[in-house]
Amino acid sequence: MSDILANLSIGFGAALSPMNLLYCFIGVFLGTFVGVLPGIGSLAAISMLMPLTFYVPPDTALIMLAGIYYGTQYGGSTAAILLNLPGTPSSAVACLDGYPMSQQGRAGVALAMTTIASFAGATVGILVLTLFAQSLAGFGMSFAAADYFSLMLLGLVASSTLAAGSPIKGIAMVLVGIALGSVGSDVQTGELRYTFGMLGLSDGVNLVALSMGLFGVAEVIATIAGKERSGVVQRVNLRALLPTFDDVRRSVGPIIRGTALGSVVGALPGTGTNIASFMSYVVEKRVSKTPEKFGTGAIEGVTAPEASNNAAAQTSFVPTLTLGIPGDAVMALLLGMLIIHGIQPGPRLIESQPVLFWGLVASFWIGNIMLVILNLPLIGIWVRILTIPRRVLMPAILMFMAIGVYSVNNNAFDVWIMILFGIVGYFMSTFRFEAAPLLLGFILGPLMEQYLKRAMLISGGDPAVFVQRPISATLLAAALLVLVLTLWGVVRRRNAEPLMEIGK
Amino acid sequence: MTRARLIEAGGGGILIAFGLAFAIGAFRYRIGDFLEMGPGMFPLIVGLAITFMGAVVLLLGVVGGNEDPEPFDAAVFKRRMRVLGLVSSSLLVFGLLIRSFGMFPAIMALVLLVGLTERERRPVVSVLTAIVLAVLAWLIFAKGLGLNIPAVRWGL
Repeated sequence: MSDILANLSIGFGAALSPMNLLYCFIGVFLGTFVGVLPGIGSLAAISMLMPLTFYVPPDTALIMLAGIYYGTQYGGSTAAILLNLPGTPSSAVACLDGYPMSQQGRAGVALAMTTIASFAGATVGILVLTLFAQSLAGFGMSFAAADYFSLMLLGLVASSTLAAGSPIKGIAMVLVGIALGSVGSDVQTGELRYTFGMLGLSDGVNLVALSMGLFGVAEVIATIAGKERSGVVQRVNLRALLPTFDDVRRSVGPIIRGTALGSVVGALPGTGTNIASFMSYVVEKRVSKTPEKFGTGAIEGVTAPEASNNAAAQTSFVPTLTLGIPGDAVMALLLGMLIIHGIQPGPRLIESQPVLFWGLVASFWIGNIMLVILNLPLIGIWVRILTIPRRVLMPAILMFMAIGVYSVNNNAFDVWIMILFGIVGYFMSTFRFEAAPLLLGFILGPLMEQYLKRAMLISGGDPAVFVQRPISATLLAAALLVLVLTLWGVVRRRNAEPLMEIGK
Repeated sequence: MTRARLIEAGGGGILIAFGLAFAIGAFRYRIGDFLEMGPGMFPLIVGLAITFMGAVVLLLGVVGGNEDPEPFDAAVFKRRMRVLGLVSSSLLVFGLLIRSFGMFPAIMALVLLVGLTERERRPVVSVLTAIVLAVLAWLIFAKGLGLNIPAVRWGL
């Protein structure tokens, strides 16, 4: 215990430096901003800000990018409640009961309660992260190359099959991502692969250009090509924010259950915030004495999923930072950024970079307090943001992406890559392929190749090593189980839209 | 064949083509054996796996794909392609201009081109947006972050 306090004091020492405070604020501010904006998600926002991280130390960069991530969880519910438009996929659940509340003139209460629920969920999530990170990292130390390979395989299988859309296509996209990840010089021999003689590809496809194209440009194209929404938004004043005693009483149970569920789901490999919020909505509906009220403005249907996705947003850092296995595409992007900055993720990260790790954990506390202030007294600002016309907002977003991607290497080549993947990303959604698994594969692919080669070298070329080591065998069995269950679902034609159906 | 099936099967077909090309490309590098895997081994495995998944997607598309797609609407399609073309070319022009002529012309061109995507043109709003954004970008990137991109320059 005293250990943890000592670590936290190191962390707060780092997180409270003026520079880190500033970047933490920028992160949560922009996170809330893009969370509120429908169509632009946290992946687009984080890739937009990645070029900025080359000007600051890695710990500051990580604090800012992480702030965007959990900030979007707060902001996402705002658009969902006020406009019935989910700002982020995980806040789609907030539409179900949040928008009916808004129509009954209780938008302020819904917004206030989601913020409170979010804060409660996040706080517990951070506690879990603080208490268990080190022991999990200790466990990770006993992992050999074969175990790592199997763990990554499980992570990829789980995240591509459990996410939205067809699981088969998810796996295909992970593989395409791995293929793209092998472009550039081979780690062992230095031989250039799939560069077609282009100098700009010798270090591989630029991660920033790839993710900005797939998420940023593609989302901008889809937003402009879609219908312009009307700018009528309900006005929210401060007094309308006050929940009644009954609202609070009815929310306590859901918040506790949502938080517990989210904390566990977030920490598992391959599951992210979306799954956490959908699952907790379903749970609340099951345990409720009045399930028929769900969908008509039940406060439990708003607070439980919000607590859950915020708890999951925090605990999803556990596998990412302690084992080097990202649970979803956002975590993969953060991992990719650490690798660019020369930090090797894995069980030794906490030991070798205590300031980075504990500083980040401390910044979560600070960032969440900032978010409560940003989202409760200042809610009016965010509501007004929804009225910025598209013709101003979209060019601004494109411009920031263009300059950002150009500035990474001061080279137009990365701009061409971004355009290419913008077009690819747009057509992928036409053919109903998800882009997130591709990014996950792109980042994990090179690591998997290294672990595979190392495992084979150690075992003397015998592939049986993957089933002979108990850890690896267990992980592979779990991956196989997920795969079989999914395929069974596909055969039974029930998995076309696995999660989106549950809420209905 | 319904449109939904065509889309599903088409996606599978693209995957097969990509996977095969990638696998064949892997033979340009040394494959090696399991003990000492060469640079070509991993891409070969991945390429073959993509081809396999592509075949599965194609098959499922041909057999299934009975869900109701949005009906094909020529006007919507035309609009989407127009937006796609304009957004891509705005970024293309930005990339071509920024090195030789600096930040201001590149941003102005980008914002004005994107402005053409809206059905209802508002030239004044577009020009104003362009100017404000150019100044903002210069303040943030050149002044704030010390990025070495001149505001305006002349030279190829």
